[in-house]
Amino acid sequence: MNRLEEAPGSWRHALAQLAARNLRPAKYVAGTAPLLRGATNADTVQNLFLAASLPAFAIGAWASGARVATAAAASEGARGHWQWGLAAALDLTGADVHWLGQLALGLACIAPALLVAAAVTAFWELAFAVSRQRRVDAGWPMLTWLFVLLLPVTTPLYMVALGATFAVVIGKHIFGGTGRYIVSPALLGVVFLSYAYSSEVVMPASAGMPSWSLVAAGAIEISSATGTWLAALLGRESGTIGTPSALACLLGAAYLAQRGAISARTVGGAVLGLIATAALFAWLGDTAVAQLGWHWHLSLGSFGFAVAFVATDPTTMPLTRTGRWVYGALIGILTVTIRVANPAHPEGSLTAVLLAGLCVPLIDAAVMRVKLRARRARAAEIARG
Amino acid sequence: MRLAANNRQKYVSATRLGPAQCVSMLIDVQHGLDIAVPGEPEQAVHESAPVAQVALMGRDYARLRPALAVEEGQTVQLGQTLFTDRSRPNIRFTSPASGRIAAIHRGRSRRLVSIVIDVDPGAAAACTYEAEPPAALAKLTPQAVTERLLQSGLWTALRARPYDAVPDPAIAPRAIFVTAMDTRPLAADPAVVIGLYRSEFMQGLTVLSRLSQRIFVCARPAARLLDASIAGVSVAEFAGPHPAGLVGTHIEALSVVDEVPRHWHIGYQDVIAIGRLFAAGQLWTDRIVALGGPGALRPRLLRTRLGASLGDLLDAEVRAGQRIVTGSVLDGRTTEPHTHYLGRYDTQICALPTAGDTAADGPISGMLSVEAFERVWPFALPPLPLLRALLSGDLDRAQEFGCLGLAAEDLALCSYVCPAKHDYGAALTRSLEALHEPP
Repeated sequence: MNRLEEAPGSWRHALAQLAARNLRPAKYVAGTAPLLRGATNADTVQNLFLAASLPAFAIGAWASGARVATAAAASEGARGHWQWGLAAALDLTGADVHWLGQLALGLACIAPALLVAAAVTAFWELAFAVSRQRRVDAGWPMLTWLFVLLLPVTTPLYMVALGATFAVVIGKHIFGGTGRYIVSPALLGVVFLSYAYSSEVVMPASAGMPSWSLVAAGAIEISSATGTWLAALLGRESGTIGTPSALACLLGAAYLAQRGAISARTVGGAVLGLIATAALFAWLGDTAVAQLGWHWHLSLGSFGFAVAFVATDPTTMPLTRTGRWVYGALIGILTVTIRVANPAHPEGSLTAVLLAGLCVPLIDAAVMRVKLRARRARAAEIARG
Repeated sequence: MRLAANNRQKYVSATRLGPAQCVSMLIDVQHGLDIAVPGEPEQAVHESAPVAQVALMGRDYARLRPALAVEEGQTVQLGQTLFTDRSRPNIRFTSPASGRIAAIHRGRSRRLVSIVIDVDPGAAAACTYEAEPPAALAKLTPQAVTERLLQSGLWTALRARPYDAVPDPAIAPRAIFVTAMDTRPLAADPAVVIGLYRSEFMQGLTVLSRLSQRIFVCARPAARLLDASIAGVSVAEFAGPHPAGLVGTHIEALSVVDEVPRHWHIGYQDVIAIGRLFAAGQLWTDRIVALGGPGALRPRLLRTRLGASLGDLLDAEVRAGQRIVTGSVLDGRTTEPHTHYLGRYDTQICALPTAGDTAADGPISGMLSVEAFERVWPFALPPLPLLRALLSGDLDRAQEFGCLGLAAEDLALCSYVCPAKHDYGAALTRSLEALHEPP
């Protein structure tokens, strides 16, 4: 008997069943075939991103709260962030606040930004739905959520509103909405703010917590800092809201890939590209940043978050599997290159995702060209008989 | 889909060594999805309620422009021509029963919807063809085979890719694919049916092998459908989940479809009918269909007839208020009063619950690139560039990316998993129409 006859019970059969279970229960529909459709739709796919980024958000809220508490105690209040005042009012200041207090403080500081961003995006979504006489476009919760998570906790609320407007109007609806835009709108909103208000949309560095700018400036001794590195990987890092824990982000990516919402190829390609490029620069370069190990590049800054939740937006992903590898690798390569070339730039990975996103049609075209050549060769072989 | 290296080698050597080789190859379809639908049929053939009406439906035949040869009220014999193809008058569509033409239904722009025949239960089974001795079947000339198939109307059991229309007898086939497996949800197991008619099936293959020296019997691994080798007939075994059983998968694994419709295919029950036509001289009008789905009272295989009225057939078989589908839940069609008949190429009937409100689940304007597509896609070329070309009506790209070898059924799983809720089968049908008749 053939080996493949034993399909039920085999690994492949079990994997196929697992893949089938990734689809939500199917629905019977009217109209033309197929009369049964998977219940996964644009909303459910994008809402998965929210669920997958919850751990990263929780750790980020805690890290943000810890940073705000430390800053408030160090009498940085004079610089006028209302979050410092809130910490003082709640009596949650200093580096020794209980972690629950830090988490609560972080959530209290983030909630207004989330509410403002949600109100602004909802307004624009409704405005476009009414003016174009269409259904409300899918995915505005995901846009709002990712946008806020890519901002530092100190971002003024009017900037949140401005950035959200830019994201929805210019990033999304100018192109025709979900399924049509060319780079993640949340990313575009954040990049817009970071160029327009480059001094405000940066978390002020503090010696108390590692951050990309401190490491890049050589303010943290990295050669002996395995403990620091591990802490940064887990999430004790000062940066934007969602990004401190690269580990939580990559675990979220694994969950999304298992559910079929994103491609593990892109994430894998990005990590491999990052490792290869970091190793290359460590070999060639002589500056402190060039000598930075790949593990530091992986754990610091927005790299994990950008790769897990921003670059993998189903609308902007390449259409071919090979293309997804290439796209991911390009992100990893560009991230390290930008960081090494300009260490003062607060975050290389977001720019890398933006640039790689613009290359997606090119990548797909190149991949299809190679695949079509193989197909034509096969057609010629069969025609010859 | 992986054609293992040694299997590809076998195929190449089979085609190079010439027709006398009977080879078997194994193709492992690695990507696909078997959807579990309640109401799996029992794989045993049962007799069904007799049907009072049968019909031919226009929608079963792609690109059909009929020239009618009968009118309402006329008495017809089994095998009598009902209409011919206007552009190829030698292709005849014949009556699947003796009786009286009850109605000829026309739709928009006088398009033929259906020709309904009241079956005369007393009519003697006509035996209008000469029975060939079994040994003579392998010596028939291709002209004699084509002639009798056209004469009897069984020619219309064949379809050709691209376009999936009845093939032109003037164009020699590159290969004929016999679909002797079915991986669709709730399908009948072809091995059970072929087991009942094994000698007819073998005779049918022998007759077909006179038309082409490359016949591929596509079957499940170790199904052992053939009890002897036939010159020019190879067995291609396809393992894996749906769409491993679709002819589009079979053709793509073994050949490449170009603009000329010369990749023919035929269902296993029609091969049995061809065997019966030549060996016994009879037009076999039985059809064994799987009745399944959540609304079926006793899901099982039923012996009924070609074009059977589903009202008569399913009177006592389904719960009230069900949607009846001829074909599978993935690629079948719902019926309306004038099309409430078994489709010409269908071997299953589904009783499904009526659909709820799906207005909120309409398509979004763009595409979402998720891995779910690749997980159900058996072909080597990536799915999403093709699907995007189809949606945007980019005919050049669609053709380049391999749409010619496909039919709507091949894209059903893509529509099933698509989070953007597009209907790729309809987009493919539109593109193929446009490719066939450039504006």
